[in-house]
Amino acid sequence: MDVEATARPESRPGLTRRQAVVTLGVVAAGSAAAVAVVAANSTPPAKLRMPSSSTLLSADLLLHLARRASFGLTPGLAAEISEQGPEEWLESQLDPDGVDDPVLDDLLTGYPLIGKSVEELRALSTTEWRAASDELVEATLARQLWSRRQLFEIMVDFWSNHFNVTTPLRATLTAKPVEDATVIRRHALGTFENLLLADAQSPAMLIHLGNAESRGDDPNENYGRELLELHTVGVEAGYTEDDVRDSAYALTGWGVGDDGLFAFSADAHYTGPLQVMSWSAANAESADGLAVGTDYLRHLAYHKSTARHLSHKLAVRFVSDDPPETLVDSLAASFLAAGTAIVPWLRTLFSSPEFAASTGQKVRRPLEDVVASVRALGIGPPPADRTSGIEALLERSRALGQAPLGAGAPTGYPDVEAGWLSTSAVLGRWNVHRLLTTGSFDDFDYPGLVATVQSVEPETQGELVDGLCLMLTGQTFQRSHRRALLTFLDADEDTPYDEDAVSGRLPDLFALILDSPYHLLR
Amino acid sequence: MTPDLSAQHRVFAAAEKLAADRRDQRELWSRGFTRRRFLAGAGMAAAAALGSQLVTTRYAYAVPGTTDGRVLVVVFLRGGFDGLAAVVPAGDPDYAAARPAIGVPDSVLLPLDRGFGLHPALAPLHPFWTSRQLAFVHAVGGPNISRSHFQAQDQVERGVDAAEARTGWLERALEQSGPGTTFRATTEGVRTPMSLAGASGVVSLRGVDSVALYRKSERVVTALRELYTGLDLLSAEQVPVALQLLEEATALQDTPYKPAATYPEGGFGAALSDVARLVKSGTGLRVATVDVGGWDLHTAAGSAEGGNMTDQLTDLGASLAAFAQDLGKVLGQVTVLTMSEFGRRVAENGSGGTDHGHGNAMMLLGGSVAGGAVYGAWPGLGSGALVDGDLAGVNDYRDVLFEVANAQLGLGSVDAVFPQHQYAPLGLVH
Repeated sequence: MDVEATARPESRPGLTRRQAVVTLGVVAAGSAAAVAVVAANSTPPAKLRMPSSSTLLSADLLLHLARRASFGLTPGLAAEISEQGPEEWLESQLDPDGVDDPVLDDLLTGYPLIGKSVEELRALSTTEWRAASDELVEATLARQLWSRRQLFEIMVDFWSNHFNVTTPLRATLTAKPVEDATVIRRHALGTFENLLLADAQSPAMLIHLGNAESRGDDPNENYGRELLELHTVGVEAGYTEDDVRDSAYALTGWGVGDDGLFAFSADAHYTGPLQVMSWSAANAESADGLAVGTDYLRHLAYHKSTARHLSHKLAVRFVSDDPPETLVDSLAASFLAAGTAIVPWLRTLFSSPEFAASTGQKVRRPLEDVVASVRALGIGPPPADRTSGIEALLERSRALGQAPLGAGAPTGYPDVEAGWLSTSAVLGRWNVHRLLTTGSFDDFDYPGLVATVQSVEPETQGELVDGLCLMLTGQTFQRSHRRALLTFLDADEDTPYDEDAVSGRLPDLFALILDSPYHLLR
Repeated sequence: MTPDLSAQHRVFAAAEKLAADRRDQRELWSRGFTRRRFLAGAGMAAAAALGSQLVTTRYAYAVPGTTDGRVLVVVFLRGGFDGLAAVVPAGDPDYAAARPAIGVPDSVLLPLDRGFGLHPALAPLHPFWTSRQLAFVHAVGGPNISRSHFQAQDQVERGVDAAEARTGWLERALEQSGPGTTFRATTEGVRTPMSLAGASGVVSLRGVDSVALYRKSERVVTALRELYTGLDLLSAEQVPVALQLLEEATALQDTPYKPAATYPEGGFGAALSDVARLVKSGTGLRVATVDVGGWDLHTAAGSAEGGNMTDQLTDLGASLAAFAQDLGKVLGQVTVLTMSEFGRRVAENGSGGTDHGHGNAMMLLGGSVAGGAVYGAWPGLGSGALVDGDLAGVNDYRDVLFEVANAQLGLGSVDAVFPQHQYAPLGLVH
């Protein structure tokens, strides 16, 4: 394919223009904040490498990191990474408790049900049960949009999708919000072993995949199967239907009590010898069912096939749709060496040459496009008591086929470009861009297109186009694409900037930049 | 039969237009509407000569004595359809014993042939059985279909082992049927199914009326086209198709349209209603795909008197019946087939549902179908006949797919669609 050699996108080291339009007030508190790491995470900090360029995207460590370790660049984030330094910023992201998040904390006061316990929720009316799940979905979107703990939110999304419990569903209206807080968020950057054990005892999962009703004399093998296929070793591990049956038997009796909490029922536990691949248990007494199941889950957490299955999935998330085997190997080794701890695993990933070489190899899925668009435009959240705009944006992402936590199958949403090809989604994404640039979501904090242009201080139409591309995508466009935008403005590069002439076209100009492949790629 | 000269003249004229369109399309490719890199893996994908997949903006005129103008509608029942709930072996003691709570009793079944009965929730379809436009194939399965949703869907939507080809079966069928219009291959839904995932020019939409670009102007469309020219990116290939769809859907929206039947509320009915609209509007639609979820009933399937399975089947039956009624005489050109990734275990489980199984029933409705029959060998439900507790899949799903698709699309070569499969037609079509 022809690429105009002279028109390669430039890497702009100084982001001074960008810094001039910091709108969210999230300029870094300072890089001196010491990063506290727990023992399991005491591997050395990630050592980042200079990334490659791609056909369209420039070689730029800050941008590459921001595209992959956040839901998208914001004017404030660019300043933050720039001031802190990419490696220091990444380390701070791996310790999210150390990142203060006042804007989000304030917004979340608008979602009072998501922090409640099962007991508290069950004391409420069934209408409020539904509200609890709806609040969770909206809050998930809000966090992706505006939390400063961006990498944490990406991992929450990763694990929520991995252990998918479709939300909202009638059977888990109260269980899912509790699971989100006490299982997924609690362990998202902990160890996989703890995450798996907690998930296997979470009422949301036990109800969703039917284990709560699985009995030794009449098993429901849904969870036992998905535990192997989706959650741990993966279908490539080569287990048999007998293994699936025993996987279900091993966890019979793991269910939910009348109080809505996890309960083990010895009466429902199957007894007799069990064998799942290389794991076996005598399982002679039904009272041992909790210990047998726990032993089985631990075995799975540390299984080599689990390490490879999860590592491949992580690499697909952060590197490419078809990640190099070398990377999967080193990630799997890191996963096992660190006792399934997630932070060292991520450090291995971000330090890898494969990560550095993967610029522009991922395509944003519809929800990621929506979130990144809000962020690129520097749009801030509404007040906590007026969140209808967030709900409207959520409906848009649902129409695009990707509501947060909404995947219908236990598989979760696909994480590869080929899973999302669709003409209706192309038009749907473009429409969201236009709704955003025309300020259609109620009460969002829009910086204003004219104000944004003024911050660029263009003297020519060429400077206007370059400045806006830089602000929204972090880089300028190659020649033919730049020309397309200038043609849209009926301008040449050197045409003097004329505010009156362009102001009516700004919503479309901003939208076109978000429609472009420079925004589509991450 | 002596060919009608005016018809012949039209065909020649159409062929010339098609050739011209294909030249235009080649030029488009050379400007950067690029070949797929992702799916070009095994030999067959590479052999998928893109020239013949290109989408034209004009219709291929119906040629007498050919399949031109016929339409195949593939309804995928996601999650594992329970064929034994829909098409029941009446009076079978093994069935009654295996499903004490959820089995459909003989007394409520609607009569089919060979001792099978139809679930009462599918009653709206029974008139089409009587008029010989509805048929079933039971005990359908195939090699390498596992009991994993993901793997089994992947397998049956490709129709070959992954090592052989990464293309979808409908993609290969379209390749055989040649070029067509923008709406030639249409998915009702937001995502393109695996069966079509690699095909060029697949249109996906959630109803013709929803196709829109806000603030649309010539100037914006031109810019969008240029921003996506010259890219080696799968997503970029969607852009010219989306812009073409936008133009043609806008024209359709300007023509008042009213369905000739009342569809049930809900996504499936709306999707079928839109397919009927595309058929009746002469858009050149040849293949439509529609997904229906909610079949993975491990828990609380309910009984024939009510419950989740009855609800699911009620929507399925009423929507398809409305579709057939809506099409009226045009149903003669259209054939619907339903498929799923696998059937359910014969015996119900402890939660009043069924776990993943194997052998399943497929439904065929419409013009080409030799209806009023349940096709396929029936292995029975005796313990000796079951495979791991499941109905044996003794009738190969690829035989059904090919026979029906061939009747609608004129495919010719089985090998090109299902390589290395020994094709054994069941006599499902006229």
